[in-house]
Amino acid sequence: MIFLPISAALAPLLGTVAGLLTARARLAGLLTIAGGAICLVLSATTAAVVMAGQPIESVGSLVYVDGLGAFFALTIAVVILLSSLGSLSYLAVEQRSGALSPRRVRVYFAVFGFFATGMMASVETANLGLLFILVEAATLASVVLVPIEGRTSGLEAGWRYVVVSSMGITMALAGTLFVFYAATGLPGDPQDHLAWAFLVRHASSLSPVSLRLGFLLAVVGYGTKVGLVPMHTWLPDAHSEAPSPASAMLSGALLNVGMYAIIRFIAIANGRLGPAYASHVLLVFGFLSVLVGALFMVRRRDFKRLFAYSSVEHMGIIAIGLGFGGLLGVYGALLHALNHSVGKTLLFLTGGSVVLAYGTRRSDRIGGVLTSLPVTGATLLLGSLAILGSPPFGLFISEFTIVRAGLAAADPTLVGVFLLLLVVIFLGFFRTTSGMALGPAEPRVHSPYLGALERWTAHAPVVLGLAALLLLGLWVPGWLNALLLRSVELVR
Amino acid sequence: MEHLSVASPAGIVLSLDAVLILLLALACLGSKLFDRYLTYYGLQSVLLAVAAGTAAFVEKDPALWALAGLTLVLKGIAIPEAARRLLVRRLDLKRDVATIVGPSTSLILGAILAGFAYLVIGPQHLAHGLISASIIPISTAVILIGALAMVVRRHMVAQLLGWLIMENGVFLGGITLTASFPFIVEAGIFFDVVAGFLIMLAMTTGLAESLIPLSDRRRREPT
Amino acid sequence: MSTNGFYREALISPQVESRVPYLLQCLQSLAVVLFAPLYAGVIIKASALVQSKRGPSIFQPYWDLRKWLAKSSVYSDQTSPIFKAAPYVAMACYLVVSTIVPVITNQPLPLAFLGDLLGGALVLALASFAMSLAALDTASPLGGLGASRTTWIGSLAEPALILVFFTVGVLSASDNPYLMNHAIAASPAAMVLPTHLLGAVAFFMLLLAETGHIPIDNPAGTIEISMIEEPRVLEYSGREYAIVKWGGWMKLFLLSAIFMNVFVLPGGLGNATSLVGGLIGTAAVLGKLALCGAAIVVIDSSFAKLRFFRISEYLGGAFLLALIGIITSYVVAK
Repeated sequence: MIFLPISAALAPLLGTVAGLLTARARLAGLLTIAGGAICLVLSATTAAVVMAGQPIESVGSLVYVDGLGAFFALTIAVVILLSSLGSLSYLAVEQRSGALSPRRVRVYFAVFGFFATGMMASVETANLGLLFILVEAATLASVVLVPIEGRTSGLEAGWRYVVVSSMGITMALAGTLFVFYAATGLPGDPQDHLAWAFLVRHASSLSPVSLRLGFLLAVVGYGTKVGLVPMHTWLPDAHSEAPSPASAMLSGALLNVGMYAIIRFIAIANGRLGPAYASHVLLVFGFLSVLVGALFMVRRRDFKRLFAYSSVEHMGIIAIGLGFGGLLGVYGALLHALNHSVGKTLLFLTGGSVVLAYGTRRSDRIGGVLTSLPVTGATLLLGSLAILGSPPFGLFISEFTIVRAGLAAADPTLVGVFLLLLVVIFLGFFRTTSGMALGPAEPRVHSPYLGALERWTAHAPVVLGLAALLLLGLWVPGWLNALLLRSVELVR
Repeated sequence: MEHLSVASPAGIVLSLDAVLILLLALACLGSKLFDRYLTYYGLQSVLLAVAAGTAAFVEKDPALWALAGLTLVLKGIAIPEAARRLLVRRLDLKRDVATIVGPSTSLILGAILAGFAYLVIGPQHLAHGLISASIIPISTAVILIGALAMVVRRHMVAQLLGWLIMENGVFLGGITLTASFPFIVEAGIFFDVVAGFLIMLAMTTGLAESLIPLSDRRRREPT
Repeated sequence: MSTNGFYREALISPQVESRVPYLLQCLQSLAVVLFAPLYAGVIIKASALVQSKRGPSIFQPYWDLRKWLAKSSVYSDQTSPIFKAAPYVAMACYLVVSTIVPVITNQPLPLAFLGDLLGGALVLALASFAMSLAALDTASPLGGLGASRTTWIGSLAEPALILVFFTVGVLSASDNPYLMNHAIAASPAAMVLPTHLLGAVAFFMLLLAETGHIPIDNPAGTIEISMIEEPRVLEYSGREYAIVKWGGWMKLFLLSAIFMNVFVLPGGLGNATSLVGGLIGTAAVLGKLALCGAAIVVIDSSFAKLRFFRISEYLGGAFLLALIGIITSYVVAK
């Protein structure tokens, strides 16, 4: 059974092989898409297997896929597939226009595969030490993607990314160390002291002081990866400078990986310190993130930075959901993670088309997307509505669930503040994107994609993504519901 | 290893070693010359290798001896030499003038952070008389001081060194405390550090003409 | 043991000759007074030898003292009686300190109740204060310069000095130098503890700062615009100058004695009951001071004087070492 998650994680390496072999974006892109599709199928199978029976595990939890892991793996696989589709079209255009040299195209696909594999592998382990290593490896791979378009600002964004990220990840390592230290004296092989299942089972015998400090450091550390305020400073730069499909992967998947790590730590902490401690920590970070996201979104001229701050805000919402806790809170948070991944991916891919067509990221110079590029404009408008939590899209359901959790578990004033911030965010975000989408058409703008392949791979992921969000907004499929409930049980 | 007494010979060596590592971290914080940063970092890594060697001696674990040797060679010699040749000599770096606060102020902040580390995870919370009681607070203090160095410095090479010091702090905690920390994890961490260093090296070389990021030098368009 | 009991026991022990402690007390102060110029002379000579020069005789300070004492004093008409009195006040302070620190014995002598280490630091500061007042009294710009600089360095060094006393005090739970001496002599292993080592290094750095040696000030130079100690005594001549210089040498002697007897080599001192022990103790302390002097000479010849504004970093470094020493002491203290 172990080969299933392992091969799901290794599938995207097909794209890496492609990148090493050929410098033609279309060919490499096709292989990457194939890898992504295989990955999705395998992770869906893994989820089915895990739901049917026991978690898949190996010695010391080095490979460990339970409901939670399967859920995140599925989410990430979806993002990988969508981004692979987008990568083909985006890179084909950039290669044709000469913006990316053949060598850079190869580097992109090679690293893209490593990045995807790293992320998949991270959520398929529950060994805290290995988790750290894999998250760091995935981050290092993604760092290469940020400056790949060759701008100085990209290089600086990449540097800031690597510096802040490394600082955060080292804190996470220190947190892991402290949790390990909290487990000294427990029976069993010390190798198991990093295994999540073991730690949760023996949670009541962990040393509280070390655990408290370890949890806090882990949240701060992995929170840097997630983009929680005040560790988010790298996020707007990195996510806006990277090429759009890579931004989609960063926002849609890597942030979720960090969240996965935090959720594992929450489960351990709740076992010993009670839900109050973790809840307070997460609520503080969550509200800070939503607040900062809201404030910084108000007058953003670079629309990719706008999307990046939206990611910060949504991660804050997830943290708030986890903070509110209980069945509703965790369910809402997990569902929101899925919805946000799909939504943000489609937004960034749409943004990629816009950038290619208009040649700029500044929203005040972009207008009339709806008329010039119909499909792109439509998805931009609808995608914005979706990401802002309007019904009938999925994010409305997840945010509503979190609000219900808040009313049940916490002070209604908190919920009121939360809703107020959501309104502010709606106003700021939608003003920009509607300004871009509506208005008279620019005469010299036309679709950048040549040929059916590029057009299909550019438009398919966004349309599919929107459809999925619409579906999730109206109805949560039974199997998804069961998977979510199983995951929630593991965390509480 | 956590149960090693602080009064035993190995314990004394380790606590002395740890204090010297802390002092070197502070020395790095208070210095303004790039060459000095690298020297202090190299010395700190050598001391770290000594600590790993002591742990290996106590635990009689060959894997730990290998790790001690790796630390000595890679972090004590190779990384400082590589940084010296590829960064300091090639880019002709002398003084670090791009700091947010001066060396004296950063030293004071560093001392405050060290005190804070002792306050939060101080020996009074931990098992008394064991080696962990003296090493954990120092390891935390070194991590915090490394983080401070990264925050206070704006020059890329200096930030890189701050990160390396942070990793040294974590490593100190990891080896000496939890010598049973699964070896695969420690090796993985080790290679992550090296990989991170190489990537940072590549980026710094790429940005050779302006190693103080634009955003910190002048205001860009308000974003 | 309580400090009071300690003193009482030393003083009013019926089995012991009641005169010996007083003799030892006089011997101690006499030793300080007599041997301080020798110490300074040996340091100067050794410094010169290390620099491949011949250097003056080790007894040169004595000849200098004789010369100065024979000369008459010239007073500026701007000065007040403070100027004339200050050297004697300083000398008196140094004599007081010589009675309260362990120089030749490791048990407190009759006058040791006058103060502990903190009291000693206060009295030394009083001496410096008197000299600064005198320097200001001359209305000479150089005097003001010297006074302000010395006071500035003193104010930065004091907190560090107090923390250093605490690092040793952590071990002995008191800041009585005799108790500290006992505590360290009793458990030699304590000397390799980080706390003690850091305290010792910090104290040595402060010793160099307080007595005006490299890297703070150049004791050999006389006319330098960045001098710190020398401008204060520039206006003195004749007998007062002799007293001032002698006091300075005594300060160096005393601080070095504290360093060696409390921090580094607490053994070899006599107790308060035997005269022979006291004489042996004198020889022992001279031997230890030779070591301390050697360290000072090595530093003198190896380092350059610090830029003036970096002195605060130097003293901050000493403070930091002492602070870390105290912090790490929590591991050891029960």
